Amino acid sequence: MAEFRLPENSRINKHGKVHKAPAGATRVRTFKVYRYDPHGGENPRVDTFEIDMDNCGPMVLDALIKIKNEIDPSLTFRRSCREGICGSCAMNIDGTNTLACTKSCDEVKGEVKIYPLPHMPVVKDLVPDLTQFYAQYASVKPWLQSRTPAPPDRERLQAPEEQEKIDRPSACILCACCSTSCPSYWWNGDRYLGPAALLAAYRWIIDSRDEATGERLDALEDPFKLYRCHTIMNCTEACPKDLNPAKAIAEIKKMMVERSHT
Amino acid sequence: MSLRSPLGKVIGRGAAKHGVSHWWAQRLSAVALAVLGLWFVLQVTGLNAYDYESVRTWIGHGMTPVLLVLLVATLAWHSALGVQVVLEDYVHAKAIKLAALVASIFFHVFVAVAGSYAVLRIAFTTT
Amino acid sequence: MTIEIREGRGVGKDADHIHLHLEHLGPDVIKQRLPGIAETARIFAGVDVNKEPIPVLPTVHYNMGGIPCNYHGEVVTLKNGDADTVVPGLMAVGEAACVSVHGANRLGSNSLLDLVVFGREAGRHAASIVKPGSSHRPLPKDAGDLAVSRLDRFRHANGSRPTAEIRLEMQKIMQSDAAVFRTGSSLQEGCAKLAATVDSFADVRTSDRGLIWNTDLVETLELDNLLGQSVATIRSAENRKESRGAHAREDFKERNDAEWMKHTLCWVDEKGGTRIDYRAVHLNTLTADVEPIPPKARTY
Repeated sequence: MAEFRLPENSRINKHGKVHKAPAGATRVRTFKVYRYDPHGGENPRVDTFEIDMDNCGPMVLDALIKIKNEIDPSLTFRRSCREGICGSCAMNIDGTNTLACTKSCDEVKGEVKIYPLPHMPVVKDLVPDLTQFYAQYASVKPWLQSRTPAPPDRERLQAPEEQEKIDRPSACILCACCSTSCPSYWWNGDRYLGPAALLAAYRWIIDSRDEATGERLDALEDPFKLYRCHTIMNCTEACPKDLNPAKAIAEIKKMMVERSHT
Repeated sequence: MSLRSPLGKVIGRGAAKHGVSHWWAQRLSAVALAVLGLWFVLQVTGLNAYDYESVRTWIGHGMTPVLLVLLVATLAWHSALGVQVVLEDYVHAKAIKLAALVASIFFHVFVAVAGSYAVLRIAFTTT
Repeated sequence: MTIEIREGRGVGKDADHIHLHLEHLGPDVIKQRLPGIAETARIFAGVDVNKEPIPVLPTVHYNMGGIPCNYHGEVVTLKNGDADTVVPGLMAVGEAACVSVHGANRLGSNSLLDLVVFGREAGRHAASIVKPGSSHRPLPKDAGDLAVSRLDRFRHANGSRPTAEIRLEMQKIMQSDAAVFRTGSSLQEGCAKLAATVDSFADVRTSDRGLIWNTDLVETLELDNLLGQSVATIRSAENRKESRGAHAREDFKERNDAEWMKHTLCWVDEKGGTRIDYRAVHLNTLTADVEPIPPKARTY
């Protein structure tokens, strides 16, 4: 039946380590960070780090880097651009999926709880296994498909109104905040494509230069791939780039019904 | 442990090529239920008396049995579709899932037929 | 921008940055053309670009030099006086490579051009010189030893200086002694301080001994690479007694084509010692259809 508890080896144990702030620090904040060591054979734990915010940058990522540099170099997380465009540092902060580099610590009240993206296999600490997520993106064939050859002397033309439609969906940075915030993706992530992949599918479906629209819609017509979406709307709420996967999915469903029932 | 590629696992057995009819039926039945439900509530709250004879009389006359049969059938249809989605969402063990889905269909068909029969029996035995 | 700040026209409490104004463009143009900048300014500077200027400061952004290669993307080295000797089987493209299309100063969008033209050519050329089905030369028995020993050494490093500390020291030296404006004395000082930092790297400490997703180890390997790069950068800068492009020296303000129109080649050994030599700049075009364009003084 449905599982109501985490598997035994995933439950957080009580052996979290506590690292106190240096003496004399005045503006101290507490960070509670999920830790998991794939070598140790132990269950995950939550470590406590007290940070002097007078010596730390404003974003949660700054705090994580400071912890790694000065307190515990084994703390492991993905990060790259530090400006909210690469999508590497997506994690669950204070209960919400977002990018650590654009989440200001001031936006969080009290202790800052940092966990990996929900319901994902954890490789180590805050690093989830995104293999399935990337495979879902690849499965929607995110490239131009057309039988009409490109003009030999210039690019394929597209009207400004047509280009506008792909602007926002193209801006997705594949951070996985949306898909991992979706309960349907939690319970059926192996068969439901998730908001990110569906947003990508939508981006190619409404690209006026693409000629495989029919095949793309055919590939989504499935009770699980598309229709596990029950308009829960966590995805749009979570997106750190202010995109709207829920709307894209709704548009896909509209197209489905328009081509078969109206 | 499967050695199938991640892409292979996601593609699975391909799209089932159905899904939109279920989606359409659910919404169509929802609209019908909104109308029929409203009618039902207005009718029932507007009854003068709630004893057996009065209600039986109401069921048996005019358009009421028609609308009641439609209400029962639509309710059963909508519920069957909804329960199917709930089972698909939350039940993953294959054998249990199959049994539950089949049981749900049988149950809902039974309810639809039994309910309709009850209404029609009243309708055809009312003078 | 740096000149404005150095000459005292900076803004803010410490007069250490300047303001970039976009308000005059109007909200429609900003929304259409610069949405990313508007968002970044809001998130990181708390600024609404429609109403206020953005506080800005120049920073390191691109590496003009790199691994020397020809226009096919094949890495070349100086051997027996020939600086175009191909290193067979090794190729480089993009920012890591130096064909060079930027000289001492990359202009805007030229990095994209570099990739589109020479990335494509490298791919095409690789396909043309490799015969499918041909076998590799047998590898020497100790072929992987250096890589494995390096990995092992850093994974078990137990010195007194954490990676982050050495890295920060290197960053500060480069920022203070090899920044936008350089002088002979700052560069020499930087070389000496960096040499000490490189020496201290022998005493590096890592804490994570794991083999799965060990970012402590990876960052230490990257620091090893960065130290080599910094040494090459600052030594070459100290050696070049002129100003050219992004290499701006206060003590040699002019560009000196007669003596210095040449690429610096720099070899760095395991101890951080360097050897410097030169490679001529190619001033010829490849066909008669286009005349070479001789260099001119920069007046903007």
